[in-house]
Amino acid sequence: MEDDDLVAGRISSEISSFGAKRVALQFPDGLLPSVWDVQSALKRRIGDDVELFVLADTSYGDCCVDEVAAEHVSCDLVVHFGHACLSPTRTLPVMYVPEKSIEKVDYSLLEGLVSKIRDSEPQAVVVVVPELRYFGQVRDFTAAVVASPSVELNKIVKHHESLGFGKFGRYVIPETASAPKEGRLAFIWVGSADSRTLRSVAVSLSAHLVHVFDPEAPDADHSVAVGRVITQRFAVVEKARHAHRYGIVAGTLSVSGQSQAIARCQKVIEKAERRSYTICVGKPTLEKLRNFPEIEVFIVIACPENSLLSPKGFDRAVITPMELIVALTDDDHLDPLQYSADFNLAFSENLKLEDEAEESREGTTSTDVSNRGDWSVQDVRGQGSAAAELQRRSYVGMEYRTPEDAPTKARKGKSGIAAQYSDESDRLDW
Amino acid sequence: MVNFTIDQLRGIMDKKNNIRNMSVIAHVDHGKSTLTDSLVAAAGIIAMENAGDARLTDTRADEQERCITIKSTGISLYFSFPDELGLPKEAVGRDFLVNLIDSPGHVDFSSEVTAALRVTDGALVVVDCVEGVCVQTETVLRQALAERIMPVMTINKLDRAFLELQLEPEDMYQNFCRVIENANVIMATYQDDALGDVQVFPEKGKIAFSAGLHGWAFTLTRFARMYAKKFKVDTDKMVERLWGDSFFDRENKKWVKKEKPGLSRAFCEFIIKPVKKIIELAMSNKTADLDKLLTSLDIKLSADDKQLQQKPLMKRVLQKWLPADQALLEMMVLHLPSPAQAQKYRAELLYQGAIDDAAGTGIKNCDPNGPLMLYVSKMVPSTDKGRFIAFGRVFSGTVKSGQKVRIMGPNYEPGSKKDLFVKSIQRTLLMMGRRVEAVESVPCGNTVGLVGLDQYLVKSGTLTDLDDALPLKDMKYSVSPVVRVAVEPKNPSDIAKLVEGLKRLSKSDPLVQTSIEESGEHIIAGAGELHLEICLKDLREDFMNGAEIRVSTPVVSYRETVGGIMDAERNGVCLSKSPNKHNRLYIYAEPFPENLAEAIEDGKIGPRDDAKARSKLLRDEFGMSEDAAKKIWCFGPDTTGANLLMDRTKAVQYLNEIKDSCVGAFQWATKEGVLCEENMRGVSFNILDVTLHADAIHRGGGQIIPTCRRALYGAQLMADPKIQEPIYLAEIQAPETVSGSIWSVVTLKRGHVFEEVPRPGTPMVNLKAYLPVAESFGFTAELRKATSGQAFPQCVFDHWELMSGKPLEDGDRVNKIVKDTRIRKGLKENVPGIDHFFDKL
Repeated sequence: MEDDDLVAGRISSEISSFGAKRVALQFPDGLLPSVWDVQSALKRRIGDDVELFVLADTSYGDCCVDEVAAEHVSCDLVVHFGHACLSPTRTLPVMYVPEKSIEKVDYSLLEGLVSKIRDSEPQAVVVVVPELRYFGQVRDFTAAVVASPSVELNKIVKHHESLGFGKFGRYVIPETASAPKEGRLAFIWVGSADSRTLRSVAVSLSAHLVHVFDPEAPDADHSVAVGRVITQRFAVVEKARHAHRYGIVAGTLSVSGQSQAIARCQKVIEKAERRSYTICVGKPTLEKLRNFPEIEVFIVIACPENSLLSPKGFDRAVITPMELIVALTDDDHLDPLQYSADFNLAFSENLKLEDEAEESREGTTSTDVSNRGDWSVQDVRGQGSAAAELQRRSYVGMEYRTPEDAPTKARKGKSGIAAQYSDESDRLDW
Repeated sequence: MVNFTIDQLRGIMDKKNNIRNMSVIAHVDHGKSTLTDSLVAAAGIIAMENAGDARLTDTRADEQERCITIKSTGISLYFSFPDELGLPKEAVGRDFLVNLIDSPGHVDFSSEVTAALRVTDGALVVVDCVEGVCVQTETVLRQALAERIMPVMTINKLDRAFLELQLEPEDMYQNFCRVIENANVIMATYQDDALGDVQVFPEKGKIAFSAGLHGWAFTLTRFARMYAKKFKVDTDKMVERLWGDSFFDRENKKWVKKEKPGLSRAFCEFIIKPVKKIIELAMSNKTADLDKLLTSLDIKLSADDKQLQQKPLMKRVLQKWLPADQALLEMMVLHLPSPAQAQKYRAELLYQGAIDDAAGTGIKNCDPNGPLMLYVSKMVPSTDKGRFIAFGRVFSGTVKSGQKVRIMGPNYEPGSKKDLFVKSIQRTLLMMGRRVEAVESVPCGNTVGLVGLDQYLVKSGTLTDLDDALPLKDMKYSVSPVVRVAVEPKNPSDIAKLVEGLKRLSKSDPLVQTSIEESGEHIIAGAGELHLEICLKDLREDFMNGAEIRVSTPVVSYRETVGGIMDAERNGVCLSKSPNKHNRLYIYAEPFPENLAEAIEDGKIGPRDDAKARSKLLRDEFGMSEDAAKKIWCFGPDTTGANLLMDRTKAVQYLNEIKDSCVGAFQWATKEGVLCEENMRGVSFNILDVTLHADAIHRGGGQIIPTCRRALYGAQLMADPKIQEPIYLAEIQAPETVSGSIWSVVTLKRGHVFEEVPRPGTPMVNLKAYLPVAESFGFTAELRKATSGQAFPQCVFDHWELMSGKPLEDGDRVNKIVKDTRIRKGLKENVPGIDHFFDKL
């Protein structure tokens, strides 16, 4: 850990030059053991006038900045450690500190891969897309164009939406590579093959060649897995077409535009004359989602990396907003060239909401999360509703049995604390 | 060829009693298309430039090349009923319109036959007089009768009996009798009471004898009319004398009922002998004798005809004397029902709703002014690349260009908007073989092509203009798509083209299924190797716009099952704990008793049966314990499959609360088994005990479903998991001399021949063999090679067979299948171990 000091020094100088007074340090679960080291190292450097808070156990996935938690302690800056999806935050400035990569990467192998692609397709423009943690190392790699993350790492970003980001995850591809006259783009992903970032990148790059170069296992061939991602999504969309009840899973609170996205999903579902139910379960897992047995399709509103959940682990379709639009509108099939896991892009063209006034009502402050909207009584029993589905189940709740369940007078229960209720004379001996 | 204007044709279409819609059905290579050609050449309506081409109804290049029909093709014939004959009841005038559909005979394309039968009311069953009634003859006959289609029969390829086999007249008669008898046995077996007696007898005029290749045919009636004058008896009486045990004593000029030496049967004497004589004279070029005979028969040859020799001469003479079109069309018009007649008894079978509502009445009465009810049976590629014409039959009302209709697909549920569209028909067309002609409207009782609906119809559907009409019943196919391949574009950017191409392919063929597996593979499933080959060819050449595709080796779907272990209740119980550790499930798996899986698949036992009757049946016929039979929770996968979930618990609190969760998990687990995510089959899972948390929130679906799934997987692994593979029934017809080579090819392919029956009167044998589907690829080619092209198999899926071998043991044959399937599906190569599912207490 010889350069820990270096990193800590850079972070502290950034913080002081930004002038932040209350700073949140967000750690993924895997890095929690080093919290104390990092915090004390920073504290030593910036002194006592800056307060540091540690955010852990994030509710929606540790790649996103947990803005809500940071706002709870009124922070004016978040320092995000570890792998990040680089989704734009709503208001808070962020500084991303990526995980460290393995020390020795054999780049001659990568070099070999590039020349191999060049040989087979001389016209192709080779773009190297590094996983965040390899970014620092691949930047100097010159044989091909290197895509860069949409934000500069280890620097404070205030409003990085303005930097612009493409549909290739949160990467910006230099303009030299964007429009090849002949041939196509060939992408090399530097990083692990099961990375969630790769899934979301691969799904938007299905029209191009995607090679995987994993510095930890440089010999393995991962090309099949990458090609399958998009067709797997086709399969999920097919499953989602004919359901009655859709659940909109609020999977993030910090990515900008999420409340609009939820509202738009509701609209799409309503227009298709189906039912929608909005739920919030933190990180969506099978165990949590199956507590809603009536819901047939779940739409996850989250950052691109958390939206593309592998269909293997679920028996119900779990889709992204763009897939929902494809499934429910006449717009017959998924166009792989337009595909994106980003919900902000899903609604950009296909769906201009007619009701602009309503849209403007949606604010962008965090208080809007609690906006419950319409309180008027709705008919919950109609055809295809969850209430109707419940009646079809074999168990619909507590049964009333006579005479066992006949009304009786209320009786006084226990009081006090569990260790020693007030009617117990002795404290339990431990 | 008859030259008609569209207006004249449209005129006949209004006379619903003068229309006959019929399909030509038969075993492969029995001469359907050739026979149809000879009809078209004589009576086909639209004059075509290429009239007289061989195999006119085979519209595709590959059909012509392979000499088999792949798609069914419709053609309209005009028949002017002869003046000397009495018209059928209710007919108006002597003009008749016969809409004929030529269907494929190969078993792989029998879905085309199903689609053809739906839009027709009668069927001409063609049987080769040498090969007799074959397996596919039976299949299509059964289908026809199930749809209440009236059959008439023609015994075809008589020229072979005369020229190749040189049979004696009496042998020929016996041969015909056998064919007729076999056919009648089938018809009696599948007879539908509403249709009345469907058995065919020559003396009733329902059987013709034909030689499609030479363009001649006759019925007994035809000869009877000829001889009636000579013998001065009634035609009807003469017909009876010409068939069966009826002999003519030439010396005494008397008819005798009993066979005596020196007498020959009337059929042989008066029908076979004259035909035979003409053939002999013509073949040996005895023109003088022939001329004499022809004059006595009142046949005049033109000067050109007289130049002909041998075979062409024979063909011309017989065509003049016994024109095929006259005999066959007369038989069809007299003995097949008109749409008006047929719809009376077919309506209740066709319509899903009540037969006395407006739509039902319209169909029943074949009312051109009633509400529109139109069934689209298939989609035909149009000349416009990528577009399809919907081909179907108007059952009630009149369909017009520009009309707004409700389109109800097969998934339409009355009252909902699922699979329902309201759109206008752009154009209505008459389908004439390779040509289409636009018309303003088409009344009920006719077939029609519709333009502009291909986006809303997948393969079939119902069109109506009545808001509360229910759809017509969807068709049931006799073959199932068991052979599958995975396809992917060579160039990843062509994925959109592939998706679009697969959509079109699925439209163009009634049976083919295209799907995307969860693993991301695009799968095409067809009935057999040939079917698949044709589908892939279509996909490549017509539906992909030139983008190249890669096709995997054929994929066979397997079934996962268990072999069962001793004392499973004690040794095979899997315990799984819920994620919160507060709930425990104890489940063990057992194999089904014999034949139970088949009974469930055939619908003899199902989830909707009365529980008491079902448990009695299970106890008595399948030897299940009474306790078990009563406690079935559900069937699966898809709530109807051949696996059972049983509640064998005793006095468990809150058990009813988790039933829905367990059922959900069971459906999921039986759809994707633990070995290689194939469907399970023939496994009964028993829930032995359950421990649940006292608090309802801790035993919800989220806790129970994943746990139950794990317990089911664990139970499967602990009960000796096995794989079942699909087996074809292959029927092979070949000369006896090559039977040895057939045996060895079948054995080489892990199959076995279980029946070998010689065909009486021929050097042919019929072999039946069981053949694993996995080995069937290339079977046809190898068989042909080994027998120098003399053997030709027809394969139909028959049953599932347990594969011996251990799926979990490295290096085993079955283990390789499991691993290959897992890799193809993008799973980890090895089956997860029991410790993934079994929790310690």
